[in-house]
Amino acid sequence: MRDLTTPLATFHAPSSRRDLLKAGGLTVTLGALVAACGTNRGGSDEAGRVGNAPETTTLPTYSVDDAVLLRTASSLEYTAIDVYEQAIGAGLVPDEIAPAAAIFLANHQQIADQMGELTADVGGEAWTCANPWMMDRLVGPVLAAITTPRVIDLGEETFESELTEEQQIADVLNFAEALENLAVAAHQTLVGLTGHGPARIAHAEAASIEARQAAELAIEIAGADAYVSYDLLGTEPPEGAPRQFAIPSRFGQTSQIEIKAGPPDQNGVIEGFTLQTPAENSFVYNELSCDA
Amino acid sequence: MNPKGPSPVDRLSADATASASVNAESQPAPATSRRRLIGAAGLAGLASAATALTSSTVSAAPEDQPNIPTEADTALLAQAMQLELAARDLYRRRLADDVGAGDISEVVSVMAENHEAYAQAIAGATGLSANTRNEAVYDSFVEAFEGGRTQFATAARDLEEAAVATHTALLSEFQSADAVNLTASILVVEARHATVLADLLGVELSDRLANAGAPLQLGGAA
Repeated sequence: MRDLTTPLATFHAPSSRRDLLKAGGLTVTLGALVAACGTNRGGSDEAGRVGNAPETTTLPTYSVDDAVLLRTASSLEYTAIDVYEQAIGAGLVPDEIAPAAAIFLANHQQIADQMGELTADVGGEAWTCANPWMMDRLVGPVLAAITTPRVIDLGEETFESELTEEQQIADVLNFAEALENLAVAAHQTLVGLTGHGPARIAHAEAASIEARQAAELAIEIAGADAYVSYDLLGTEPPEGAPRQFAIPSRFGQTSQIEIKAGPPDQNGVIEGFTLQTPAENSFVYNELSCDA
Repeated sequence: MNPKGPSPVDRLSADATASASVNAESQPAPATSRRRLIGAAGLAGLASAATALTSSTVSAAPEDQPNIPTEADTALLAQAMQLELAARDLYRRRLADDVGAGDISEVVSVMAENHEAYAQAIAGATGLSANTRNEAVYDSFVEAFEGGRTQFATAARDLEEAAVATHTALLSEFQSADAVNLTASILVVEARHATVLADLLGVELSDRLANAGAPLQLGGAA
């Protein structure tokens, strides 16, 4: 019969100095071997980067100073001017709103000029065209959605829908209202961002003028029903209620504005668009130019 | 820091407040009193604002600004809060049973609630109690607020325009981010109030879209 006590006794026996040296030597040898195999691994040891990762290309850092903020403000004004001019040119501003639109245009130009002068005052170059980021990602898609038919390939058939002229006018005016509200929100935000005293006052005055324009446009579109939002009245909006209001909220809001524009899809869903106050992606940096 | 002109809110004007109160009491016709207040305040306020506008810098760049209102900001915000409470009480007076706002009661009610909210927001930012209105402003407007619809809407529009101008002028004085941002969020809605009231009055389109008010010389104890 096998004696099972011997291995157990050996296992429990205290290690000798020789055993310890053997084990230590083996560990060091294996460690050296692993280290040798691991050379030339390269890669970044920064957080979030694992394994043989290639080196990253660092993006250039553009500063945001008062000139950038003022150029951005100018760009928003020119964006609004561009939209009004396109809408008027396409016959999508009704006659009864044309006088107000003309004043809005003049005010936007006046504010853009003022922002340009202030840009020069703080050592920057005045910006004299629309915001390229907003034109590409917002204005273009919204106006295209409103003015072009929606065609959806459903496989065996094609779904098509198109707005009537009356619906196009309603959507364009709703977009103009949203842009006025965005301009208010942008200037309201810039009041707190700028460190230049005259610019702060100019942004506040621009915000209040454009708040008046937003209120006026809401009233021009829907009359006295559009004085105060149903949220503030604490009642449910009736069917056919105005889409925008002269007094939409208790405090000036700087959150994103969502609108729907264009014809519905086969399920009756209308495309949504989000308007956001300028941020890093839509600032008009000093390195940009209208010619580029 | 460049020197600034006198504040549109007179921080050393305890005497001026008493004087304004006395003047308000001694005026036989409150409508005239309101016009005088706006006229006098407008001239003084315009001078203050003009001086403030010519100063070239705000006290600190945004990254160096304190977040919460400084002591100086609190004194200014206290005046603004008292103005908002006076506006709230004037609209509430219009809504009172013995006056009545008629078919515009919902609009008047919302405007009253908005001014109440502004006072409460300022109180929240400063730690002050929103319990003291500007008596001089209230007294100078109250008779018109109790008058016919046109008289009311004219006075209410004057008040809103003056509030917008006053808040705008204060922006050049504030040191803290909270004071600046809160005030900006108030004045844009008061500009909308003014536009609605202008529409009620049938004011010419070009006139209702301009910043027409002059800042009030508020004064009074904080």
